[in-house]
Amino acid sequence: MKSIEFKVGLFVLVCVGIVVAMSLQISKDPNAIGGGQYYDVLLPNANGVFKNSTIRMAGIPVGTIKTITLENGNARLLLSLRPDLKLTKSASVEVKPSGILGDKFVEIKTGNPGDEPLPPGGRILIVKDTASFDAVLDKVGQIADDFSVVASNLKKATTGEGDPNTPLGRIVMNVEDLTADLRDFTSENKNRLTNTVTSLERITKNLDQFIGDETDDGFKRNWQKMAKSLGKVDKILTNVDEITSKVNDGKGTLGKLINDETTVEELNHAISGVNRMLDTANKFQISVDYHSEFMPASGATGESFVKSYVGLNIQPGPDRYYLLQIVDDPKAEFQRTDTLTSVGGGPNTTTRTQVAYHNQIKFSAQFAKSFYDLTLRAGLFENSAGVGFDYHFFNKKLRITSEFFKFGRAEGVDIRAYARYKFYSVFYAVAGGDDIANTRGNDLTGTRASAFFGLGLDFTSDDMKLLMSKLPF
Amino acid sequence: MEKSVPSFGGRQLLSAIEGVGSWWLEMILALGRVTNFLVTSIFWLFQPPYRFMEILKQIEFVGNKSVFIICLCSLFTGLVFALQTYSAFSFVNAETMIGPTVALTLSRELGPVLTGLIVTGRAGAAMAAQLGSMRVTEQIDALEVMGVNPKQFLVMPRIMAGVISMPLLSAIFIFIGNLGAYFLSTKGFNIDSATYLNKINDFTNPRDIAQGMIKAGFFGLIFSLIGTYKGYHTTNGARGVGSATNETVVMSSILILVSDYFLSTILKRLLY
Amino acid sequence: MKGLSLSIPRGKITVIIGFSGAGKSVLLKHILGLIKPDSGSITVLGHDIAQLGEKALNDLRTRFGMLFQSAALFDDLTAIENVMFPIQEFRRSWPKGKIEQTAGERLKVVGLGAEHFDKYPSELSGGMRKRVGLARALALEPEIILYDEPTTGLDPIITEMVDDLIVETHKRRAGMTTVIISHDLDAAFKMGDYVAMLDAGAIRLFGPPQDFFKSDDPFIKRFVAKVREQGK
Repeated sequence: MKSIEFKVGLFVLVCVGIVVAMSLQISKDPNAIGGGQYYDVLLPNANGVFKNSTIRMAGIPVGTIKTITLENGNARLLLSLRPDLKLTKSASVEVKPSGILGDKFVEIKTGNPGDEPLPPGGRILIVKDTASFDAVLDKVGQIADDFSVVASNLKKATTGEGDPNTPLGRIVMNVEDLTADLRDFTSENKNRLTNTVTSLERITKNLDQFIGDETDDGFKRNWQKMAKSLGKVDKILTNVDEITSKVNDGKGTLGKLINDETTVEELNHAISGVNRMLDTANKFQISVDYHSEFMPASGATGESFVKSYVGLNIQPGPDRYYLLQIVDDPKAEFQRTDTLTSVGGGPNTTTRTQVAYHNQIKFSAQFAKSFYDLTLRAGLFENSAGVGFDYHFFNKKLRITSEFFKFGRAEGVDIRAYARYKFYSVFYAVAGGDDIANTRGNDLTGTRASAFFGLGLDFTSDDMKLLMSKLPF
Repeated sequence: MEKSVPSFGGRQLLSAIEGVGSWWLEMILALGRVTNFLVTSIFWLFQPPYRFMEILKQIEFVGNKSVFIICLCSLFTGLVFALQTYSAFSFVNAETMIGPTVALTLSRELGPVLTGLIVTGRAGAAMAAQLGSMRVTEQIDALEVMGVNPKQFLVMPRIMAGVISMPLLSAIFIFIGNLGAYFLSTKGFNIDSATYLNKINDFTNPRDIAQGMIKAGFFGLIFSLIGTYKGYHTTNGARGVGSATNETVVMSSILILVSDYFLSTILKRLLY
Repeated sequence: MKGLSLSIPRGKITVIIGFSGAGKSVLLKHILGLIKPDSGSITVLGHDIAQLGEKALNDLRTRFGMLFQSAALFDDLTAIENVMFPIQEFRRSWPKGKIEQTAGERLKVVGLGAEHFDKYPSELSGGMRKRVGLARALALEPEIILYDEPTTGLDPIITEMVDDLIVETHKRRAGMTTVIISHDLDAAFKMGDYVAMLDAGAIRLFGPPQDFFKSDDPFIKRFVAKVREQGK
């Protein structure tokens, strides 16, 4: 049998151990076991923040609020934090809502790790407030910056030699040129102007007569009718005036809508929504493609043609894109004119056939989907349904393409096959054959296989941005 | 003279008022006597010779010997609590709230109160019976005649043991009760154990345990003070011992439950 | 109790007798300072008990020994532990061995065999309990020893044995004052150097036993007659 001291000692130790273990298990304060660190922070508004509530970082509890006291009209929070957090001078604190009950929690950020460290016991100086006045001021500042750019452009455009580098400057210069031309014109045509003035005089005289006409069909009667309708217009305007003043006073649904603060907030939301959408639009890879093909001695006439393409490539994801293309096809329309000529005025005639091509604007709209190096395209190919296959080599520098379209054509499907090689930056060369299956040609429609080669440009949106930023406006 | 004698009904009313008055006076006097008893006992705590061994013996009696019954009671309290809250919370798919519910209720209320009631029945009654029989067999007189202060030797160690042991016992109660609820919830109701523990973490705080400890200490004072007071002032032999024991259990239980409310109110102000 | 005046001589055996309810126990409690008198004074060994503080009173009490009617042994201590208790309390510097040895000697003096030393009071007979109680009362070698109804409830043989023990104990220690409270007149007259007759809270007669036989007081006469009757 053990001594009574031992038994009581064991009992007390076990119980105290239980208390300590339970307390540590449920304690959120890292300083409960020692080894934690304290920081303080001044909040202009500690509404909804309570003593002992949890401090989180990236959603993970990292400490508790030890005390909340008043200091110079601000709330001073003493934060008890985990010892392994390394805070720097740029560390920040933000009060965020948690849950649906209006509870709030304090979110802490350690700050830029490159900055000077903030020793324990120090004060965290940056307090972020998501909806503060500062944030609004920031936006206003941005807008003002934009305006100052506009103003300086305007100033440049209207002073001295003018500014040919900006549209505004060019407009101003154009106006200047216009007025100069006008002056020249008037001085050159003095006589004519005098005649014109005389004519005008005559016209006004006639007009006077017309106005003075007292008959039913005369101007006066009509004027009175018009005056009456003007009265109606006046009434309408009064109503409009009333409505707008109501709106200004915040009366009525529209007035409330316009004058209500929440509308402004909602509008802000909407604007930020639009911004977000534009952001995602920025994420789309957009490229602009332009190329021209030269077709030497082709078609029924044996002429040379130049066919041009302007296309927009919208790529929402890495493996697919939409292609919109405007094609200027010089061989789109074929005209055959047979002229019968009697030989020497006799009954024998010779037929002289004249053929001509007319150009036409055509559209392509395709959806493309990539599988590794192979891309399938389907959709509209120059105003007709079709499919296309692209195969890429050498990190997409070289592309071999075959396109099949105009399926219902009498002379069979139009097959276009060509290779495209991007030789420098945005520049590429193409070479291949158009309508290659149609080697015999069709005299009625004027189609015939032809070879072509050409040059093109292919900008991505990044290239464009680069380009735009280099431009003055 | 005749006129000054109140009527029959008047006399009854008078005696009723007198009854209330004497009951009230008796209450105040009793409170005064108990307070005096407590204060002199505490006074003797600080007088040599220090009765350290006696305190240890009493802690062993109140504390060590209650551990088993406390473990048993708390285990089943935790189990039944988890069972009942499960059936309620499962209606609203909030089974994970069993953890905090059991933890908070046990640490703030059930732990100290049930421990108080159990230990009152075991140790408080024993104190009253022991001191009562010592009183009627003149053992207390014998101590006094020997020059040993019975309040120092008998009363103070028991009160100290009550105040010291109760928080420790209620810690065991809270711990074992939560353990029972935890095992039933995780093994029986298949609640994820990490979720269970994290929910407890979210809703409880060390001050909840502190509240329970403080209450338990106060309840320890209540039952040990009443037990020793009743036992110390036992009269009428063996019958007196019986009634002292009985009164101790009844009064302590009532006082524990009533004071729990007031303690909760006060501690809420102080701790939260 | 009122108007009681009694001075107990030192070094003698004084027996205080009286019927139940005469105030014997109350008188005893006054002597011990367990009850303080409403008025008047009680002087024990030169100290006015009513004026003493609690600590001084406790010190004075160590010079007392008392055997209670029911022996008042501590239930949770063995026979020898009961005797050791006052020694432990007031001879704190003594080593445990010496305390145990002294207690054993005290128990042997009152005639308790060593085989009973480790028994609890509930395992002892009434006579043995009285012996242990006496040994405990004598443990600190008191100057005054008080007996509260030492033989009440015991059978005649043990009664005689206890009476002999009291007288023996008194003789063994010179200068020890013995006060016996009893209703046993026979034993009182046999043992007491002085006898005090208590009646209704006052002393009827105080003096050597012979005085009682000579007394004309009808109350005492009746008492004495009873003793004679029993003697026959």
